[in-house]
Parts: sequence; C-alpha cells; structure tokens
Amino acid sequence: MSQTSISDYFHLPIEKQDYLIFCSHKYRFIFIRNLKVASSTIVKNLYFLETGDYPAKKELIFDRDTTIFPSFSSEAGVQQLVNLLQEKEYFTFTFVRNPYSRLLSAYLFLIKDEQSRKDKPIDIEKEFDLPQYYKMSFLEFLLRVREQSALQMNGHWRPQWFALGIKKGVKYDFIGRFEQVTQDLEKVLQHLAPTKSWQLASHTNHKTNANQLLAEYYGYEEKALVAEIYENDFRYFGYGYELPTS
Amino acid sequence: MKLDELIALGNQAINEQDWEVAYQYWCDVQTLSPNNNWSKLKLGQILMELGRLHESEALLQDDIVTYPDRPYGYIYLARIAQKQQHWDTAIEKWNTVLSKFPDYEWTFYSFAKFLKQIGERDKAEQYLQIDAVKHPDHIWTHLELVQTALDKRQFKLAQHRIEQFAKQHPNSQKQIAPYKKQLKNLQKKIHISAYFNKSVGKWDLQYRVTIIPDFKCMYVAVPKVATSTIIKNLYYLMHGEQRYLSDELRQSMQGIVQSKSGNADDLARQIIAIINDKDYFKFTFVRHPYGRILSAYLNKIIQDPKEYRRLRPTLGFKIDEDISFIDFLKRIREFDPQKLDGHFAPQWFLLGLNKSIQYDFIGRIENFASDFDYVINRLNHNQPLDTPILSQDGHATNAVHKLKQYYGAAEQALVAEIYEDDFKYLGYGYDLDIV
Repeated sequence: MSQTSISDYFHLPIEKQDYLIFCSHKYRFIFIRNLKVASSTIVKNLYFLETGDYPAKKELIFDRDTTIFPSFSSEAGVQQLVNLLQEKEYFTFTFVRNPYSRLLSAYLFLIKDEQSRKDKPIDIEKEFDLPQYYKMSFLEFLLRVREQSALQMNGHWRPQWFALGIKKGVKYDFIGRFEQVTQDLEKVLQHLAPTKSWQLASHTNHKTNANQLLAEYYGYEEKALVAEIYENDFRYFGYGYELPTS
Repeated sequence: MKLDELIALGNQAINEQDWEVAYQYWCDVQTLSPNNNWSKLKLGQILMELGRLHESEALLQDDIVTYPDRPYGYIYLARIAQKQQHWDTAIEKWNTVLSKFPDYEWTFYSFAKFLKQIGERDKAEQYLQIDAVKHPDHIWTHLELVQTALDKRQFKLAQHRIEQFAKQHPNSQKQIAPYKKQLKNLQKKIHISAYFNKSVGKWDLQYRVTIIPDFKCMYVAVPKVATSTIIKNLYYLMHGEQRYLSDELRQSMQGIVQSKSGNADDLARQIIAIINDKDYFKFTFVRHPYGRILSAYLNKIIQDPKEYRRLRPTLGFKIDEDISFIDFLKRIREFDPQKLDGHFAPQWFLLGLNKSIQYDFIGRIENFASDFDYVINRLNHNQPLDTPILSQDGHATNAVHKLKQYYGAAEQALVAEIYEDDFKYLGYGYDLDIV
C-alpha cells in the first residue's frame, strides 16, 4: 500500500515532528531524534559529518532558523519528506533507551534539578498546573505523567514508540541503543561515511548519571508505573522489565 | 440509660454498620441532649446510609454551619451528591473538602473512592498513593491500593502491595486475608492464552520453557537463538558440571517444568503462577530476523539430514529436492505462524510479545557474551561462573558471515515482509549491512 501523507508515518503534527528530523542530502540519511537518548551527541556528530567541524553553539544544530539541517515544515517540505520515507533511498535511523533510565533522566534533569527548573527548558509548573517551584517526588511525577496522553506529553517523556512512529509506516534501517551509544553511533557513521575517521564528540551537559541512580529512585511502585505507562516502549524495543543494573 | 452509654452504643452500632439500631440510639441521644456536638452529624451519616438522603442533607447542612472547621459533614454531603448521582455537585463539594481539609486522613481516601466510582481509576490511584505517603498508618488507603492493583489485574503489583502491607501492619493480618484470597482466585481464572499464542502441548511451549525453582528463574527458548548454549550453562549452574547437550539432557531440563501428573492444565497453571510471581526472573534471548531465518534454513533445511527429513515435508517440499533460500522463504510466507515449526515461526509469536507476559530481561544474540553474563550474574548472586560460558557448536552455521552471500534484494524484502513484526517488536532495523 502506498503511503501518501505525513500522518501515515508520524503521530505528531509536522510542526512538532520537524524539530526531531535531521536529514542530510549529501550523506543521504534521515535521523529521527529521540529526546533524552543521547540525541545532542548524535546530532553533534552528524553536524561534524556534514560540515567537517563541531558546532560552536547549539543553535547551529537545534534552532530551526539557523540550523544547517533542512526543515520539512512547509507544504513542499512535507511532501519531500513523505517521498523520502516512501522511497527508502535514505538511511533512516534512530536511537532508543531503556524506559526506566530515560524517565529518571528526564525527572532528574527537568524537575529535580532546581537550577534547570529556574532556567526553564520547559515550564513544568504550566505543564502540570502546579504552583511555582513545587517539589515533586519521582512517584508523583510518574502519577502525573500517567494522566497525560502521548500527544499531550512533553517530548522528554513522551513514549518513544509514539514519537518515532514505530506503529506507523517509518521503517528504520537501524535502531541504535543508548546503552551502547558509542559502539552503535560508530557503526552508523562508518556506514554513512566509510572512509572518514574521527573522534566521537560526546555531549555531557545533559547527562544525569541516571543508571547509577536507578536503584535509589525506583521502588516497586515507581517501577510498576513506568512498566504500565511505557508498556509499548518495553514491547517494541525488546527491553526487559527488570531494572538495568549496569 | 446514661448519655455516655447511649453514645457508646450508638457508635458501636455505626462501627458494626447496624444503621437501624444506630439510628435509635442517636435519636435517644438527641432527645436527652438536644445540643450534643455530634448528634446532627451522626444522624446525618446514619440517614445517608439508610438512603434517606434529603433528611440527612438537612442535618449535615446545619452541622457544617455550626462546626465549619470539622471535615466530616462536608465529606458526607459530597457522598450524598455521589449517591444522588449529581456529579457536578459532587465534584464541587469534593473540591471544597480538598481545599479546606487536605490533611485530614480520610480526605484523599474518600475522594479516591469517588474518583473510582466515576471511572477515574488512575486519578484515584494517584490520590491513594499520595495519601499513603502522607498517612502511612491509614490501613484503608493501603488496602484500597491493593484493590486497585487487583482491579487492573496487575498481579505482581498486588503481590508486592500485599507483602508490604503484611510487613508494615503486622497486627492487621485479618484485613489483608480476603485480598490474598482474591488474588489467588483471579489468577485461577486466567488462561495461558493471555500470555502465549500457543497452548501447552507436546512439542510446544512445554518444550521451550525451562523453570528452575532453586534459582527462581524461567527461560523461554526461541529456536535458533543460542538455546543449546543457554540450556547447557543453566545445567552447569545447577549441577556444577559440564554435559554435552543430548536429547536426553534437554528432556531432563524440560522435566523440571513438567508437573507430576504430566497434565497439560497443571503445567499451564504452573507457568501462569510463575509469570505472575514477582520474585521469579523471566528471561529470553532474541536474534536479528535476517540471521535467524538464514541459520534455520542452513541448519534445518540444508545441512542436517535428520532435521531436513523431518522438516522439509512440513513445508510441502520433497525430501530430496533442491531448495534455494528464496524458495524456502516464499514457502514460509504461505504459512500462518501457528502452522510453522518453531525454528521458522516469528519470535514475537513464540514469545507472546503481543500478549501480557512481561520478560524481565531480553538478551540479544548479537551481544551474547555480555547479555548472558548479565543473566548468569543475576542468577548466581553476582558470582560469575567459574568456567567461561560454554558454547555448543553443533548448530552454529556462521550465519552472520553468510548474510551477504545469501541475501539479495528479493530475499531481504521477503524476510522484511514475513518477519515484519519481529523487526517491530524487537527493535531491529532493516538494513542488512549494519546488522
């Protein structure tokens, strides 16, 4: 069956999805960015692949007005993206992460960390209709997240299967894993540019050492909530329900 | 009778939910002492329980005017609106209770019961959870949390909440007993088809499930995904000695799962109980669909005479026929997963990934050394095995290296089509070069 519309590929409207698409016509790839899954590191390296240099500031990769990566939000852009996904000529890839550690990382970075809250990368108070600087436990955060639909959720905790269009028509050539991001990213870069070699740039700002903190933050109740809310992420990416220990 | 005695008897009748008797006593209290602090409230509560809602409402309205800082009257008025199914009024009244008395120990519990009644089950659980932190000694909140897990058929969570309750409220064992019974009864009603696509049969699930009670683990095997290596290592873990994995040994490992009677229903019960036991570690291993089906083709259709004599006819081939990889794939495509031998059936189907089973760990053959190491450490209390992981080379077909030799565009497209849901469920990509 031929796919003709962007909604055959993604759940999110193009204005939102566009921020998550990084495409190179030179190296013929489409990377769908998955938030809280080393995406800054990945995009930085893709920028290097494209320009031969690492980006001096993040606007060069993430700001739609200044980025070197093409936008697909116009009418013609949407059609071009649909064609690219349908023709399957470009290497389409993404990265996924264990839902337990992704959620905790989102909580620690966006909610627990007071400095981040003040810097307001997202407006948590508005998001959950809370008083300013309201202190929220991880359990309460998860209970509130459960109230939201996948579409309502913020991208940092939106289920991965939904954001990536897994149940829709996107056929990924490669799905890397956060847990072995260096290895998998090297594979991708090697595949895209077999003759090129470089030192992988890593992006540490957002790292919250979530893995080490898993045992500290996850009691049985928190674990059961993530298992329930993110059931499809476990199901579609082959993650087990036990907390990862390393 | 003295006033104090009447009050005590009235309260006792309320506790016993004997509303008619309670009504008599509290009417007597009011007659003896018309200005008693509690009589309007108690009579309001009793009349509410007796379904005399208008009379109850009038008394309770009076009560909250006289005692605006007591939560009880407000809660009963909200409950009356609930009983009358006046939902907007009920919500309004509950909002008053929540804003005026957020710290009263029955507020969140009672509001959660209301939310449950209007079908807001998740929101109800949210209030109960917050209440459980605020009032850890309020046993009714904890019991309601157990009931919530049971209502949602979250058996492992219910088991956890029951265990926690027993630990934290050792003097309330009587209250938790009916929930334990309910959990048991609900589990009895579950059929194995809730977890797996095929039922227990001679060459089916029974053949692929290994349960080791001493290690509290269950392994569900997928043919062509290192099963021999895994079984051999589990045997080593149990007995501390290496054995060649003969058919006999394989059967002895499966013997662990067989019920004494050999009855399929008993076996299915045992598997269901283990799936729902939160202390059991359930694991499996999966493999990239390109590699797995090529390995199955080479080993079961081309190389092993004993196996190809058995399996070629099941696909409608003659035993002495030349069968190319593409012929094989085209034939596989014609079959429903139910009808395929386990070596060729999709992994999602064999593992029940479309069902309710939750694997604690899903290893990948592409990462076998580290993933299996994880399993062994997990089972062996973080002690590595004192010999390296034993591998069984008999079936190895070096499939990974042969991928490029056997896969052209047509073969790749066929595997992508036949095993589409394996790609989808297991998070594998479609590119062959980067497998």
